[in-house]
Amino acid sequence: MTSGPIAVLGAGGFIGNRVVEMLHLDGAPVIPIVRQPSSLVLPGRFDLPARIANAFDENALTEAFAGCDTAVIAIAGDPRTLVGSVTPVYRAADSAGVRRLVHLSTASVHGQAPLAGTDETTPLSDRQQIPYNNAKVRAERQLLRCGESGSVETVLLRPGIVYGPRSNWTGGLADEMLAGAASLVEGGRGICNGIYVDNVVHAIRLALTAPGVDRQAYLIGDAETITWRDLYGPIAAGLGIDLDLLPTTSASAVSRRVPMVDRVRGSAAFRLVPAPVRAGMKAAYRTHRDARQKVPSGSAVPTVTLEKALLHTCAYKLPWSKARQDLGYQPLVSFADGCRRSVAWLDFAGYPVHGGSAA
Amino acid sequence: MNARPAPVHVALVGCGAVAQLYYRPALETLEREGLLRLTAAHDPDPVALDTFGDSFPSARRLTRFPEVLAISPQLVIIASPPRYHPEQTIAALAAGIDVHCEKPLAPNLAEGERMVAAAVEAGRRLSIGMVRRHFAATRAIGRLISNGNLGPLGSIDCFEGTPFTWPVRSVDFLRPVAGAAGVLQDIGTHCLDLLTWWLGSPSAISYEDDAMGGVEANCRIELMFGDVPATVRLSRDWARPNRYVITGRDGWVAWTVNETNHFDYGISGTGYAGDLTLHEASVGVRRPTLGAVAGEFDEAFANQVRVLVDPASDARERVPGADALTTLGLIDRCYASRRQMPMPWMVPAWRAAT
Repeated sequence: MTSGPIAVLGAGGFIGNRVVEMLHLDGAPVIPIVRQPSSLVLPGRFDLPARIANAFDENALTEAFAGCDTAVIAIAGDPRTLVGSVTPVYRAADSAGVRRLVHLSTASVHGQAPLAGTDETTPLSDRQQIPYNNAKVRAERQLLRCGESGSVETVLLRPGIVYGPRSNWTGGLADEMLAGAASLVEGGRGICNGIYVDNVVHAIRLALTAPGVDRQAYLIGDAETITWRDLYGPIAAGLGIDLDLLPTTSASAVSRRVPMVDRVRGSAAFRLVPAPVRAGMKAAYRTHRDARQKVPSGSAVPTVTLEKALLHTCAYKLPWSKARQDLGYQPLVSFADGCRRSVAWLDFAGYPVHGGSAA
Repeated sequence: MNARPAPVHVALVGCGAVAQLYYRPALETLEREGLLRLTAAHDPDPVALDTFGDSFPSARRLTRFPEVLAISPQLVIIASPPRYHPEQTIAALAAGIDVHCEKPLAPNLAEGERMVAAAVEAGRRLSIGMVRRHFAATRAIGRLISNGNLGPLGSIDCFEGTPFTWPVRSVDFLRPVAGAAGVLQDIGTHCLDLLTWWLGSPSAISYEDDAMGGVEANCRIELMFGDVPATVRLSRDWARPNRYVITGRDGWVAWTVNETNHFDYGISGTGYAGDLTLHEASVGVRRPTLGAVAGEFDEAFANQVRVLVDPASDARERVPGADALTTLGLIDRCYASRRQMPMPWMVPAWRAAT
């Protein structure tokens, strides 16, 4: 482990909280940093010296990083936050004498359905269809630029679909299933580049100390190659939902329909239409969409976004061989065990898990 | 014709989130109605004081608590962090001032008992902010239970929780220091107060939470009300439907938390259930009719203070501070018998792998 305290910026979030939990329970000195006191609900279950700092406030961040040897950057937010926070965070870490930043990026910098052969050497684009991807690409680039003039080492981690306790890919999916809003694209037969949250934290832990990895980016994932249907299956089973009854959508239908809607909404001509007429057009579209999706009365409407369509039709398992070689990364939690832990958390959180305490 | 009584002089202590979000609009309403006049507000933080005070230009802004007592208001509203409630309440009562204290009344039962005793000794009124007792829905549910409309009860299941976004100003609120308020002391106070108000004191109680040296974000309470089991699950962590479901032989009710005028009511043996919206019952007519829809949350909140300052209000609607002691005692019992919630995913993977 590192020689001094580890700051966790974004400790109130799903991954940041799990970093705090695992490092603290392992005996490491951890300092959770959050934007506001109310974000300390989960880190606050431990008696830790938490600090408050806005990710845009360099002075506050410098104070928050004081005395820390390393820092994990697990900030969530909109594209402006993801990109705009990079420079103040780096400069503050530099001023505070932090030795290394481990920055949580995403495999989505390669797109939701990366081409075969994609790895860390594949050039990134910030002109992708998904704004989140572009923000994460720009954040990575900005961090590397900061590193050119600063003394803080940086390591970039690119996890894929992070599932597990408090993940939207677990709890959010369970919510969708219970609301009748879950669906698969092309039967969910595409590859899910999943990683159980503890495996992410394991990679973070290794990245805090591995030698010779400054300014390197690493894809990380689970050991197994799984499909989206595999990811949905244990959650559906836990909730007593028949996976085969979930609606499934054709990718070609989604890819034609969604961009058209976005194009109309974003067009100058649409903005010139009087507001009441716009509202009418939107209502008419919703009626048309609902009718096409044939959702039973009283259920929420399954939403198939472009992002989801791309994810569910992914045909390539991203490699993590570079992380294995440089960091010594090897997933510790199997997919099956990750799913068991995830369903155990659903039960804890109050979902009606079959055979569970809330059923 | 009687002259309208002079407005009651009120001071507010503690200008944090609950004051700003809830007491401010309530006091503005009651000031407009001529029922009270806010003569002073106190907070040691000048920024919070000014933010609150800007809504009450004529109120004095005081940064020291003794200054509040020096101006002798008729009623003090204590909305400071819970660890200050006993000291400030007892001082105000001793100065001959009535006190309305925001929940929780005190950090523990012993402190609460000291406060109630101080009110008796001073001959002043001490009331507690239990806004949910002012909801039409909770009153109606309580009456359905006490009238036996649901028949003998079979089970009670309460889930209450959502990610915590309350705009607290200090990390102390969520650190294991004196005055920290975990989810049990926070929303658990409301929940246990409702259950004991409806059903009386439980005969047995067991408790577990997820604190690991700090303050709990999740907890689970099992209670027995006679032979009726009740489960309470509270969370500041993850959103699930906030529902209380009370099932009896002859019917059931399901209430969504903070729905002031609405609940679902099922009638056993009919195969039917309805979503019930409560109205004021019309008076002065030969047949019962529906009046206006019963009040929303802001009206219920204002009603807590209204019943203290409006001579025309129904004194039975006041919630005396002594009523909080049952809940404080239960919370003490919960913490004293605390067990760790099972969290089988919690062990770090590298430990589980070795």
